Amino acid sequence: MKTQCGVCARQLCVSGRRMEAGFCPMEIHPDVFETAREIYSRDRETALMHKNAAIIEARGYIAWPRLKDIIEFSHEMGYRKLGLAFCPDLKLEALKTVSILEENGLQSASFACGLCDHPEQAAAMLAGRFQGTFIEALNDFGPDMIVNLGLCLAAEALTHKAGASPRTCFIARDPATFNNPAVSLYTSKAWLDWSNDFYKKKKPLKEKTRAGG
Amino acid sequence: MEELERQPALREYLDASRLSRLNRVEEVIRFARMMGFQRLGLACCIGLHDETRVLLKIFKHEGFEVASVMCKTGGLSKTFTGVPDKFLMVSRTGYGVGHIACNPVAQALILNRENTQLNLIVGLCVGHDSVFMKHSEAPAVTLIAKDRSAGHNPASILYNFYGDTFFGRRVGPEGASRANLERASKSNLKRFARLRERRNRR
Repeated sequence: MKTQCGVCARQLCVSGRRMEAGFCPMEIHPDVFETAREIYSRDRETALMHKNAAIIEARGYIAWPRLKDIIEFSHEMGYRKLGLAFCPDLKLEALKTVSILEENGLQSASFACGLCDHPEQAAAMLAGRFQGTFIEALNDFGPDMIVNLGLCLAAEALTHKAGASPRTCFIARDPATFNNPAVSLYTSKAWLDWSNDFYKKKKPLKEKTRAGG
Repeated sequence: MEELERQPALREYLDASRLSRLNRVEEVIRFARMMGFQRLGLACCIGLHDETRVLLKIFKHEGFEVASVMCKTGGLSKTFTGVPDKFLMVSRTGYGVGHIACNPVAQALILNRENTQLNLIVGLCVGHDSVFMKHSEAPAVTLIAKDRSAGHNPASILYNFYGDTFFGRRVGPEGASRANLERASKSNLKRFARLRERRNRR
């Protein structure tokens, strides 16, 4: 486990350079990037998704919510049908999301995951059999993209590579913080310790604005 | 046989995650322990570097081996996959986005080479996370769903007035009350329609 971008202090890769350190993946695995380029030029779907994601990012940077990103991305890729896999606890959210997607011209259907009530299905999915689970119904619908709307971690991990369509995530389910998992980091002791050190070194806002004009 | 052995642990885990209201990080830890995973991989967005740092600290404290890869690794140019010039340096909304593209395939390949058993996505964009999930060998799950406008809380758009306004399900703040709407002239209504059209075109 040598690759550690998390401890990097400078992030030179944003400008295309590399850190000369033992944790930088560009130092440890230089051959991987050639393989990645090959995949981009060979696999047409991957290249198209990669390109359209970059365009969507530039079009709606900071202005668009994630749902708008998903809608615009589907339009760019030419997707017509979306399949939503949702937790029964988030029934109302799923209802509203479906109606918003339908209004924006995407034919969408939602499928409730019932793994909590049927652990034998979960065990079957562990072994790679998807008969009788909600994934089978999803695949029968034949969506162009599967949207994860609040599946718990186990269900999401079990559905890995179950469907042929590309998957994306709209809501990461988190019952403790009402589907906002980042909050549990911002309020943690580790975050407070780090931010105390970090923001002490920063200049106060007043000086900064004066220097910037 | 293996299924039957694992079934009680799965039942216990599914009950715990639903009833005892764990947060997502605790859920990851419990799920990895249940499945016997030791090696976790983090695929992170460069904008969530601070969150990644804290996650690394937490997971190391819990005794996991962690590898983390940022999205800009490899220095791939955006023009390589054919992004037009007008989407390169500055975004349409006026922020700098740079000319280096995210590289989800390389992220997946690096984590595959590190032999991770569970890959966690920390805030990848909408299309890039599909690419990452496609090429990752270990099961890939989302830990944080990135939402730049709402501070990584994508569900918030479904609950409030401004979410409805954004998707055109209610009239905007100028025409919010019924009295205003009744008093609005035809030209005003036309103006609303024009504004909505312009916003959608962007």
